[in-house]
Amino acid sequence: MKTVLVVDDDSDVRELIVWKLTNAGYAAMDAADGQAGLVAAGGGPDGSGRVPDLILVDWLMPRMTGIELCQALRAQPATAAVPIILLTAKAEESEVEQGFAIGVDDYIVKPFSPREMLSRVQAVLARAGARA
Amino acid sequence: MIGGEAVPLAAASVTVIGLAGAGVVAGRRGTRSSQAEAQAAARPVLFSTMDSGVIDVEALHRLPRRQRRALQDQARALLPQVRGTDHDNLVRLLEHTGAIGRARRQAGSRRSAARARAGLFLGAAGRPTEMDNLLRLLHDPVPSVRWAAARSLGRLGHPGAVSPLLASLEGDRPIPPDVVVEAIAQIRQCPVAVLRQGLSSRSAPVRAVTVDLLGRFHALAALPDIVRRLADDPSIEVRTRAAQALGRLGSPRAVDALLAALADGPATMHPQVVRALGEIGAPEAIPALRRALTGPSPQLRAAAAHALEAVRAPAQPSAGRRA
Repeated sequence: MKTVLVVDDDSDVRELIVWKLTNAGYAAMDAADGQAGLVAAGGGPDGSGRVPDLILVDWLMPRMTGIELCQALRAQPATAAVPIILLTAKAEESEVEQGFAIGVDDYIVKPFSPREMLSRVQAVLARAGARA
Repeated sequence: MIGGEAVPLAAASVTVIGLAGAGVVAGRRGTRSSQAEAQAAARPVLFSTMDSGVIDVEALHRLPRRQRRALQDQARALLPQVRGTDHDNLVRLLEHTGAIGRARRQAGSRRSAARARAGLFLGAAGRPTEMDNLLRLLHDPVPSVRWAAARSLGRLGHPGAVSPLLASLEGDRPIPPDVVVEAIAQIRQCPVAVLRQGLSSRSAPVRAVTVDLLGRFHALAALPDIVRRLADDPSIEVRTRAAQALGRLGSPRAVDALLAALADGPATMHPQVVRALGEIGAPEAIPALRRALTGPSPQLRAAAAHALEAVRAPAQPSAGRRA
Protein backbone atom coordinates (compact mmCIF):
# COMPACT_ATOMS: atom_id res chain seq x y z
CA MET A 1 0.00 0.00 0.00
CA LYS A 2 1.42 3.40 -1.03
CA THR A 3 1.73 6.05 1.66
CA VAL A 4 0.88 9.70 1.01
CA LEU A 5 1.74 12.55 3.38
CA VAL A 6 -0.59 15.57 3.31
CA VAL A 7 0.81 18.86 4.64
CA ASP A 8 -1.78 21.63 4.89
CA ASP A 9 -2.58 24.08 7.68
CA ASP A 10 -6.27 24.16 6.71
CA SER A 11 -7.73 21.31 8.75
CA ASP A 12 -10.90 21.04 6.65
CA VAL A 13 -8.97 20.61 3.40
CA ARG A 14 -6.41 18.32 5.06
CA GLU A 15 -9.07 16.03 6.51
CA LEU A 16 -10.91 15.91 3.18
CA ILE A 17 -7.78 14.89 1.27
CA VAL A 18 -6.86 12.28 3.89
CA TRP A 19 -10.38 10.84 3.72
CA LYS A 20 -10.29 10.71 -0.09
CA LEU A 21 -6.87 9.06 -0.14
CA THR A 22 -7.83 6.50 2.50
CA ASN A 23 -11.04 5.70 0.65
CA ALA A 24 -9.02 5.18 -2.52
CA GLY A 25 -6.81 2.61 -0.80
CA TYR A 26 -3.78 4.69 0.17
CA ALA A 27 -2.26 4.94 3.63
CA ALA A 28 -2.47 8.64 4.50
CA MET A 29 -0.43 10.59 7.03
CA ASP A 30 -0.94 14.28 7.73
CA ALA A 31 0.81 17.30 9.18
CA ALA A 32 -0.58 20.75 9.99
CA ASP A 33 2.51 22.81 9.12
CA GLY A 34 5.78 22.72 7.26
CA GLN A 35 7.97 21.86 10.25
CA ALA A 36 5.77 18.91 11.26
CA GLY A 37 5.62 17.89 7.61
CA LEU A 38 9.39 17.85 7.33
CA VAL A 39 9.69 15.64 10.42
CA ALA A 40 6.93 13.26 9.27
CA ALA A 41 8.41 13.03 5.77
CA GLY A 42 11.79 12.04 7.16
CA GLY A 43 10.31 9.09 9.05
CA GLY A 44 9.37 10.86 12.30
CA PRO A 45 11.50 12.55 15.01
CA ASP A 46 14.05 9.68 15.15
CA GLY A 47 13.87 8.92 11.42
CA SER A 48 12.85 5.32 12.05
CA GLY A 49 9.32 5.60 10.63
CA ARG A 50 8.15 5.10 7.08
CA VAL A 51 9.13 7.66 4.45
CA PRO A 52 6.05 8.45 2.33
CA ASP A 53 5.85 7.50 -1.34
CA LEU A 54 4.40 10.91 -2.23
CA ILE A 55 3.94 14.24 -0.46
CA LEU A 56 1.10 16.70 -1.07
CA VAL A 57 2.10 20.18 0.10
CA ASP A 58 0.04 23.35 0.39
CA TRP A 59 1.88 26.43 -0.87
CA LEU A 60 0.56 28.99 1.61
CA MET A 61 1.31 28.00 5.18
CA PRO A 62 2.44 30.08 8.16
CA ARG A 63 6.06 29.92 9.44
CA MET A 64 7.35 27.60 6.69
CA THR A 65 5.78 28.00 3.24
CA GLY A 66 5.17 25.08 0.92
CA ILE A 67 8.05 26.21 -1.30
CA GLU A 68 10.43 26.31 1.69
CA LEU A 69 9.24 22.87 2.74
CA CYS A 70 9.83 21.49 -0.76
CA GLN A 71 13.34 22.93 -0.77
CA ALA A 72 14.01 21.35 2.64
CA LEU A 73 12.61 18.01 1.44
CA ARG A 74 14.85 18.07 -1.62
CA ALA A 75 17.89 18.82 0.59
CA GLN A 76 17.15 15.90 2.96
CA PRO A 77 18.63 12.60 1.60
CA ALA A 78 15.68 10.47 2.77
CA THR A 79 13.14 12.61 0.89
CA ALA A 80 15.24 14.03 -1.96
CA ALA A 81 13.61 11.74 -4.53
CA VAL A 82 10.09 11.52 -3.07
CA PRO A 83 7.57 12.96 -5.57
CA ILE A 84 5.85 16.16 -4.46
CA ILE A 85 2.55 17.65 -5.58
CA LEU A 86 2.04 21.31 -4.70
CA LEU A 87 -1.44 22.57 -3.83
CA THR A 88 -1.67 26.23 -4.67
CA ALA A 89 -4.06 29.11 -5.14
CA LYS A 90 -1.29 30.73 -7.23
CA ALA A 91 -1.92 29.94 -10.87
CA GLU A 92 0.37 32.58 -12.34
CA GLU A 93 2.83 31.21 -14.86
CA SER A 94 5.89 32.51 -12.99
CA GLU A 95 4.77 30.90 -9.73
CA VAL A 96 4.14 27.56 -11.37
CA GLU A 97 7.60 27.82 -12.96
CA GLN A 98 9.06 28.54 -9.52
CA GLY A 99 7.46 25.34 -8.21
CA PHE A 100 8.82 23.20 -11.03
CA ALA A 101 12.25 24.85 -10.72
CA ILE A 102 12.67 23.54 -7.18
CA GLY A 103 11.76 20.02 -8.20
CA VAL A 104 8.00 19.77 -7.66
CA ASP A 105 6.53 16.95 -9.78
CA ASP A 106 3.05 18.36 -10.31
CA TYR A 107 0.76 21.05 -9.00
CA ILE A 108 -2.93 21.38 -8.28
CA VAL A 109 -4.65 24.77 -8.33
CA LYS A 110 -7.17 25.63 -5.60
CA PRO A 111 -10.16 25.52 -5.75
CA PHE A 112 -9.37 21.93 -6.64
CA SER A 113 -11.31 18.90 -7.73
CA PRO A 114 -10.72 16.09 -5.20
CA ARG A 115 -11.29 13.53 -7.98
CA GLU A 116 -8.69 15.17 -10.19
CA MET A 117 -6.35 15.26 -7.19
CA LEU A 118 -6.67 11.47 -6.86
CA SER A 119 -5.92 11.01 -10.58
CA ARG A 120 -2.81 13.16 -10.27
CA VAL A 121 -1.63 11.26 -7.19
CA GLN A 122 -2.07 8.03 -9.11
CA ALA A 123 -0.26 9.39 -12.20
CA VAL A 124 2.68 10.81 -10.25
CA LEU A 125 3.07 7.56 -8.29
CA ALA A 126 2.95 5.56 -11.54
CA ARG A 127 5.63 7.81 -13.10
CA ALA A 128 7.79 7.46 -9.99
CA GLY A 129 7.31 3.68 -10.07
CA ALA A 130 8.36 3.55 -13.71
CA ARG A 131 11.48 5.62 -12.92
CA ALA A 132 12.51 3.39 -10.01
CA MET B 1 -5.18 47.20 60.84
CA ILE B 2 -7.16 48.32 57.86
CA GLY B 3 -4.01 48.04 55.82
CA GLY B 4 -3.34 44.63 57.35
CA GLU B 5 -6.77 43.35 56.29
CA ALA B 6 -6.40 44.84 52.84
CA VAL B 7 -3.46 42.62 51.97
CA PRO B 8 -5.25 39.29 52.51
CA LEU B 9 -8.33 40.77 50.82
CA ALA B 10 -6.28 41.78 47.79
CA ALA B 11 -4.59 38.37 47.77
CA ALA B 12 -8.00 36.70 47.95
CA SER B 13 -9.22 38.87 45.04
CA VAL B 14 -6.19 37.93 42.98
CA THR B 15 -6.83 34.25 43.78
CA VAL B 16 -10.50 34.55 42.81
CA ILE B 17 -9.66 36.42 39.58
CA GLY B 18 -6.92 33.88 38.86
CA LEU B 19 -9.26 30.96 39.43
CA ALA B 20 -11.96 32.61 37.34
CA GLY B 21 -9.40 33.25 34.56
CA ALA B 22 -8.22 29.66 34.71
CA GLY B 23 -11.86 28.61 34.55
CA VAL B 24 -12.41 30.69 31.40
CA VAL B 25 -9.27 29.24 29.76
CA ALA B 26 -10.28 25.71 30.74
CA GLY B 27 -13.81 26.45 29.49
CA ARG B 28 -12.47 27.69 26.14
CA ARG B 29 -10.23 24.64 25.84
CA GLY B 30 -13.22 22.45 26.65
CA THR B 31 -15.33 24.24 24.03
CA ARG B 32 -12.56 23.88 21.46
CA SER B 33 -12.11 20.19 22.15
CA SER B 34 -15.84 19.47 22.08
CA GLN B 35 -16.04 21.48 18.84
CA ALA B 36 -13.24 19.34 17.41
CA GLU B 37 -15.10 16.21 18.53
CA ALA B 38 -18.30 17.43 16.89
CA GLN B 39 -16.40 18.19 13.66
CA ALA B 40 -14.73 14.77 13.66
CA ALA B 41 -18.10 13.06 14.22
CA ALA B 42 -19.73 15.02 11.40
CA ARG B 43 -16.95 14.48 8.84
CA PRO B 44 -17.89 10.97 7.62
CA VAL B 45 -21.42 12.16 6.76
CA LEU B 46 -20.07 15.29 5.06
CA PHE B 47 -17.33 13.59 3.06
CA SER B 48 -19.41 10.62 1.98
CA THR B 49 -22.14 13.01 0.77
CA MET B 50 -19.53 14.99 -1.20
CA ASP B 51 -18.25 11.75 -2.64
CA SER B 52 -21.49 10.02 -3.56
CA GLY B 53 -23.90 12.91 -4.03
CA VAL B 54 -26.45 10.94 -2.04
CA ILE B 55 -27.86 12.88 0.88
CA ASP B 56 -28.46 10.39 3.67
CA VAL B 57 -31.37 12.22 5.30
CA GLU B 58 -31.59 9.75 8.17
CA ALA B 59 -27.89 10.01 8.97
CA LEU B 60 -28.19 13.80 8.93
CA HIS B 61 -31.15 13.74 11.30
CA ARG B 62 -29.40 11.30 13.60
CA LEU B 63 -26.60 13.81 14.14
CA PRO B 64 -26.98 15.74 17.40
CA ARG B 65 -27.53 19.49 16.94
CA ARG B 66 -23.91 20.41 17.69
CA GLN B 67 -22.63 17.95 15.09
CA ARG B 68 -25.15 19.18 12.51
CA ARG B 69 -23.84 22.71 13.07
CA ALA B 70 -20.24 21.45 12.80
CA LEU B 71 -21.12 19.75 9.51
CA GLN B 72 -22.56 22.98 8.11
CA ASP B 73 -19.53 25.00 9.26
CA GLN B 74 -17.14 22.57 7.61
CA ALA B 75 -19.24 22.44 4.46
CA ARG B 76 -19.23 26.25 4.25
CA ALA B 77 -15.46 26.33 4.82
CA LEU B 78 -14.81 23.74 2.09
CA LEU B 79 -17.15 25.33 -0.46
CA PRO B 80 -14.65 27.89 -1.84
CA GLN B 81 -11.80 25.35 -1.74
CA VAL B 82 -13.20 22.64 -4.00
CA ARG B 83 -14.68 22.41 -7.48
CA GLY B 84 -16.17 19.76 -9.72
CA THR B 85 -18.57 17.03 -8.68
CA ASP B 86 -17.63 17.23 -4.99
CA HIS B 87 -18.46 20.96 -5.06
CA ASP B 88 -21.82 20.34 -6.72
CA ASN B 89 -22.65 17.67 -4.15
CA LEU B 90 -21.63 20.04 -1.37
CA VAL B 91 -23.96 22.72 -2.73
CA ARG B 92 -26.83 20.20 -2.84
CA LEU B 93 -26.13 19.29 0.78
CA LEU B 94 -26.07 22.96 1.84
CA GLU B 95 -29.30 23.53 -0.03
CA HIS B 96 -30.84 20.58 1.82
CA THR B 97 -29.72 21.92 5.20
CA GLY B 98 -31.19 25.34 4.38
CA ALA B 99 -27.83 27.17 4.48
CA ILE B 100 -28.18 28.55 0.94
CA GLY B 101 -31.73 29.79 1.57
CA ARG B 102 -30.50 31.52 4.73
CA ALA B 103 -27.65 33.17 2.79
CA ARG B 104 -30.15 34.47 0.21
CA ARG B 105 -32.15 36.06 3.03
CA GLN B 106 -28.99 37.45 4.63
CA ALA B 107 -28.11 39.17 1.35
CA GLY B 108 -30.90 41.58 2.32
CA SER B 109 -29.88 41.85 5.97
CA ARG B 110 -29.54 45.24 7.68
CA ARG B 111 -26.10 44.20 8.95
CA SER B 112 -23.38 44.85 6.38
CA ALA B 113 -21.16 42.02 7.70
CA ALA B 114 -24.02 39.55 7.13
CA ARG B 115 -24.55 40.88 3.59
CA ALA B 116 -20.82 40.57 2.79
CA ARG B 117 -20.70 37.01 4.18
CA ALA B 118 -23.82 36.09 2.23
CA GLY B 119 -22.30 37.56 -0.96
CA LEU B 120 -19.12 35.49 -0.60
CA PHE B 121 -21.07 32.35 0.26
CA LEU B 122 -23.47 32.67 -2.68
CA GLY B 123 -20.52 33.23 -5.01
CA ALA B 124 -18.77 30.15 -3.67
CA ALA B 125 -21.97 28.15 -4.19
CA GLY B 126 -21.55 29.02 -7.88
CA ARG B 127 -25.20 28.93 -8.95
CA PRO B 128 -25.85 31.21 -11.96
CA THR B 129 -29.28 31.91 -10.42
CA GLU B 130 -27.53 33.97 -7.73
CA MET B 131 -26.32 36.51 -10.29
CA ASP B 132 -29.16 38.99 -9.63
CA ASN B 133 -28.54 38.90 -5.86
CA LEU B 134 -24.85 39.55 -6.42
CA LEU B 135 -25.45 42.35 -8.96
CA ARG B 136 -27.66 44.04 -6.37
CA LEU B 137 -24.90 43.75 -3.75
CA LEU B 138 -22.46 45.29 -6.25
CA HIS B 139 -24.22 48.63 -5.58
CA ASP B 140 -24.33 48.24 -1.80
CA PRO B 141 -23.54 51.39 0.22
CA VAL B 142 -20.82 49.54 2.20
CA PRO B 143 -17.49 48.97 0.35
CA SER B 144 -16.77 45.53 1.88
CA VAL B 145 -20.13 44.25 0.60
CA ARG B 146 -19.47 45.60 -2.90
CA TRP B 147 -16.02 43.97 -2.94
CA ALA B 148 -17.47 40.66 -1.76
CA ALA B 149 -20.07 40.84 -4.54
CA ALA B 150 -17.40 41.62 -7.16
CA ARG B 151 -15.24 38.69 -6.05
CA SER B 152 -18.25 36.39 -6.06
CA LEU B 153 -19.33 37.49 -9.53
CA GLY B 154 -15.83 36.55 -10.67
CA ARG B 155 -16.11 33.20 -8.96
CA LEU B 156 -19.50 32.63 -10.59
CA GLY B 157 -17.74 33.11 -13.94
CA HIS B 158 -20.75 34.25 -15.95
CA PRO B 159 -19.74 36.37 -18.99
CA GLY B 160 -22.78 38.59 -18.35
CA ALA B 161 -21.02 39.99 -15.27
CA VAL B 162 -18.22 41.66 -17.28
CA SER B 163 -20.12 44.84 -18.23
CA PRO B 164 -21.60 45.44 -14.73
CA LEU B 165 -18.18 44.85 -13.17
CA LEU B 166 -16.57 47.40 -15.52
CA ALA B 167 -19.38 49.84 -14.78
CA SER B 168 -18.79 49.39 -11.04
CA LEU B 169 -15.48 51.25 -11.45
CA GLU B 170 -17.40 54.49 -12.02
CA GLY B 171 -19.99 56.47 -10.10
CA ASP B 172 -20.38 57.44 -6.46
CA ARG B 173 -19.53 54.01 -5.07
CA PRO B 174 -16.63 52.77 -7.17
CA ILE B 175 -14.95 49.42 -6.60
CA PRO B 176 -11.11 49.47 -6.59
CA PRO B 177 -9.62 48.56 -10.00
CA ASP B 178 -7.60 45.61 -8.69
CA VAL B 179 -10.71 43.99 -7.17
CA VAL B 180 -12.44 44.27 -10.57
CA VAL B 181 -9.37 42.95 -12.42
CA GLU B 182 -9.19 39.95 -10.10
CA ALA B 183 -12.92 39.29 -10.54
CA ILE B 184 -13.06 39.53 -14.34
CA ALA B 185 -9.80 37.57 -14.72
CA GLN B 186 -11.66 34.58 -13.24
CA ILE B 187 -14.35 34.69 -15.94
CA ARG B 188 -12.83 32.18 -18.30
CA GLN B 189 -15.28 32.83 -21.11
CA CYS B 190 -14.89 36.56 -20.82
CA PRO B 191 -16.14 38.16 -24.06
CA VAL B 192 -13.04 39.99 -25.25
CA ALA B 193 -15.17 42.06 -27.68
CA VAL B 194 -17.17 43.44 -24.73
CA LEU B 195 -13.97 44.06 -22.86
CA ARG B 196 -12.41 46.00 -25.75
CA GLN B 197 -15.29 48.49 -25.62
CA GLY B 198 -13.84 49.58 -22.28
CA LEU B 199 -10.80 50.98 -24.10
CA SER B 200 -12.88 53.87 -25.43
CA SER B 201 -14.43 54.69 -22.05
CA ARG B 202 -14.06 58.23 -20.74
CA SER B 203 -13.21 56.77 -17.34
CA ALA B 204 -9.48 56.21 -16.76
CA PRO B 205 -10.05 53.32 -14.26
CA VAL B 206 -12.19 51.51 -16.86
CA ARG B 207 -9.50 51.90 -19.53
CA ALA B 208 -6.79 50.84 -17.05
CA VAL B 209 -8.67 47.70 -16.02
CA THR B 210 -9.50 46.90 -19.65
CA VAL B 211 -5.90 47.02 -20.91
CA ASP B 212 -4.75 45.03 -17.89
CA LEU B 213 -7.32 42.29 -18.59
CA LEU B 214 -6.62 42.19 -22.33
CA GLY B 215 -3.05 41.32 -21.38
CA ARG B 216 -4.14 38.67 -18.89
CA PHE B 217 -6.45 37.07 -21.47
CA HIS B 218 -3.63 37.13 -24.06
CA ALA B 219 -5.89 39.03 -26.45
CA LEU B 220 -3.36 39.43 -29.28
CA ALA B 221 -6.04 40.88 -31.57
CA ALA B 222 -6.20 43.89 -29.25
CA LEU B 223 -2.45 44.56 -29.48
CA PRO B 224 -2.76 47.68 -31.74
CA ASP B 225 -5.32 49.19 -29.32
CA ILE B 226 -3.08 48.52 -26.33
CA VAL B 227 -0.09 50.04 -28.15
CA ARG B 228 -2.18 53.16 -28.80
CA ARG B 229 -3.05 53.38 -25.07
CA LEU B 230 0.63 53.02 -24.21
CA ALA B 231 1.57 55.84 -26.56
CA ASP B 232 -1.01 58.49 -25.90
CA ASP B 233 -3.49 57.79 -23.13
CA PRO B 234 -3.91 60.89 -20.92
CA SER B 235 -3.66 58.69 -17.78
CA ILE B 236 -0.23 57.44 -16.68
CA GLU B 237 -1.93 54.54 -14.88
CA VAL B 238 -3.49 53.39 -18.17
CA ARG B 239 -0.15 53.71 -19.99
CA THR B 240 1.65 51.77 -17.26
CA ARG B 241 -0.92 48.95 -17.33
CA ALA B 242 -0.70 48.95 -21.14
CA ALA B 243 3.04 48.30 -20.85
CA GLN B 244 2.35 45.48 -18.40
CA ALA B 245 -0.25 44.02 -20.79
CA LEU B 246 2.19 44.12 -23.71
CA GLY B 247 4.73 42.24 -21.60
CA ARG B 248 2.11 39.58 -20.91
CA LEU B 249 1.23 39.33 -24.61
CA GLY B 250 4.91 38.73 -25.30
CA SER B 251 4.72 39.85 -28.92
CA PRO B 252 7.83 41.33 -30.60
CA ARG B 253 5.40 43.61 -32.50
CA ALA B 254 5.17 45.74 -29.33
CA VAL B 255 8.92 46.35 -28.97
CA ASP B 256 9.12 49.61 -30.99
CA ALA B 257 6.25 51.15 -29.03
CA LEU B 258 7.82 50.12 -25.72
CA LEU B 259 11.21 51.54 -26.73
CA ALA B 260 9.48 54.81 -27.67
CA ALA B 261 7.73 54.87 -24.28
CA LEU B 262 11.08 54.34 -22.59
CA ALA B 263 12.59 57.23 -24.53
CA ASP B 264 9.71 59.73 -24.33
CA GLY B 265 7.18 58.51 -21.75
CA PRO B 266 6.90 59.65 -18.13
CA ALA B 267 9.62 58.28 -15.83
CA THR B 268 7.10 56.63 -13.46
CA MET B 269 6.14 54.10 -16.13
CA HIS B 270 9.71 53.26 -17.14
CA PRO B 271 10.21 50.31 -14.72
CA GLN B 272 7.08 48.63 -16.11
CA VAL B 273 8.16 49.29 -19.70
CA VAL B 274 11.55 47.73 -18.97
CA ARG B 275 9.91 44.68 -17.36
CA ALA B 276 7.73 44.28 -20.46
CA LEU B 277 10.77 44.38 -22.75
CA GLY B 278 12.35 41.69 -20.59
CA GLU B 279 9.24 39.51 -20.81
CA ILE B 280 9.18 39.84 -24.60
CA GLY B 281 12.87 39.02 -24.70
CA ALA B 282 13.71 41.27 -27.63
CA PRO B 283 17.49 41.47 -28.32
CA GLU B 284 17.02 44.88 -30.05
CA ALA B 285 16.07 46.29 -26.64
CA ILE B 286 19.49 45.49 -25.12
CA PRO B 287 21.11 48.95 -25.70
CA ALA B 288 18.09 50.73 -24.12
CA LEU B 289 18.05 48.26 -21.22
CA ARG B 290 21.78 48.86 -20.65
CA ARG B 291 21.14 52.62 -20.48
CA ALA B 292 18.33 51.94 -17.98
CA LEU B 293 20.89 50.19 -15.75
CA THR B 294 22.21 53.65 -14.88
CA GLY B 295 18.73 55.19 -14.61
CA PRO B 296 17.67 57.55 -11.82
CA SER B 297 15.52 55.18 -9.73
CA PRO B 298 16.51 51.95 -7.97
CA GLN B 299 13.29 50.29 -9.27
CA LEU B 300 14.29 51.10 -12.85
CA ARG B 301 17.83 49.83 -12.36
CA ALA B 302 16.59 46.58 -10.73
CA ALA B 303 13.99 46.06 -13.48
CA ALA B 304 16.65 46.67 -16.16
CA ALA B 305 19.06 44.15 -14.61
CA HIS B 306 16.31 41.54 -14.44
CA ALA B 307 15.15 42.30 -18.00
CA LEU B 308 18.67 42.04 -19.40
CA GLU B 309 19.04 38.65 -17.77
CA ALA B 310 15.75 37.53 -19.35
CA VAL B 311 16.73 38.84 -22.81
CA ARG B 312 20.11 37.10 -22.70
CA ALA B 313 18.63 33.81 -21.46
CA PRO B 314 15.11 33.71 -22.89
CA ALA B 315 12.65 31.34 -21.24
CA GLN B 316 10.83 28.74 -23.35
CA PRO B 317 7.95 30.58 -25.01
CA SER B 318 4.54 29.35 -23.86
CA ALA B 319 2.34 27.80 -26.53
CA GLY B 320 0.15 30.35 -28.24
CA ARG B 321 1.72 33.32 -26.50
CA ARG B 322 3.99 34.62 -29.20
CA ALA B 323 2.95 36.20 -32.46
